Amino acid sequence: MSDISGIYDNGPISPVCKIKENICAWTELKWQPFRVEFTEGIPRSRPFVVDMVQLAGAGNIPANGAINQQLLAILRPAAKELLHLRFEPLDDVEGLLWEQSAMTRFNPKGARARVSMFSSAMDPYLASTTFFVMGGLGDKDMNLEVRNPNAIALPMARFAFWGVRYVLDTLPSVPANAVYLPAEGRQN
Amino acid sequence: MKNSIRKVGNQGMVTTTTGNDLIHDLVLVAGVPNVRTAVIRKIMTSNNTGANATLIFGTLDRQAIPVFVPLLPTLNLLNGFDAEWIEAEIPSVEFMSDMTALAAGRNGSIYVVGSVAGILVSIEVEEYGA
Repeated sequence: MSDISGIYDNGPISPVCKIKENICAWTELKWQPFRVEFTEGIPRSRPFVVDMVQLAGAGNIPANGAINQQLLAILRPAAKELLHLRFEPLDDVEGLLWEQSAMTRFNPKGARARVSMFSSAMDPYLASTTFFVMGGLGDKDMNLEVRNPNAIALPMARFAFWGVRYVLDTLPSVPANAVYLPAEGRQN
Repeated sequence: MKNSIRKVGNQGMVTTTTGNDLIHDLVLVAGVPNVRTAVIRKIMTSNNTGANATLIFGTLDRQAIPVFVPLLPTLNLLNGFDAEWIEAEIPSVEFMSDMTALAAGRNGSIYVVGSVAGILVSIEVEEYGA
């Protein structure tokens, strides 16, 4: 019986499987099987902090304003690689996740959730911010939109990312014991 | 894990004018009003105006021409001195936007009124909400 891993369980981020175990990632409109050949951690560190104001080439994020979604080049894995990440803002701004430039995430019908400095109040390890980026799929990478809830413009809108990197090998068919992952979040 | 954010009053260091001076604007999210409240945790002042002075912190009501509503007691400032109040010395008055119409309602943002112009005031606030 295949399992969905506890990727949203509340706790520090940890690999969804061991080396030589199988995963099945929902991407490009179907479940695609892979064997994990290598895995390593991506510590929260300076190279994985991005200032969205700088990335957008803006002077600031306006009062009660936004920076439209920007592709995060630091989170573009190579082909046959998968990133398993969480994130949080370091400044008082809110992040909205897009996978591809036009597909919203954390988005039930009624409203779209944002990751803010308050997100860790009920979710100390930020498990609910978990997302995946599958490499080698062209523009199907992670984009981030930022909103400023403050009544003043802010000169910085920094976000930190951390998680796990997997190197994958493709499999010809879905194995029975794969861990299923919502790599792309596409619903249909 | 954090339940709140501590930050400087978002108008920065304010120089009083003797009118209502905005010192911290409450957070708004489009379509989702009143998501945060704020409590003043520290106050730092410098009075070089040439006279002793007073300060009052409060908010504005929702009348057509808003009127200042004091929410903290009057603070006395000696001329030529700085003065600070820290968390233990400040009542935990929670500034919040109250949508009640007109005079009974309050906009919740933090304002300061000085008895003379030219007093320098900075505050630290703790915001709660989302």
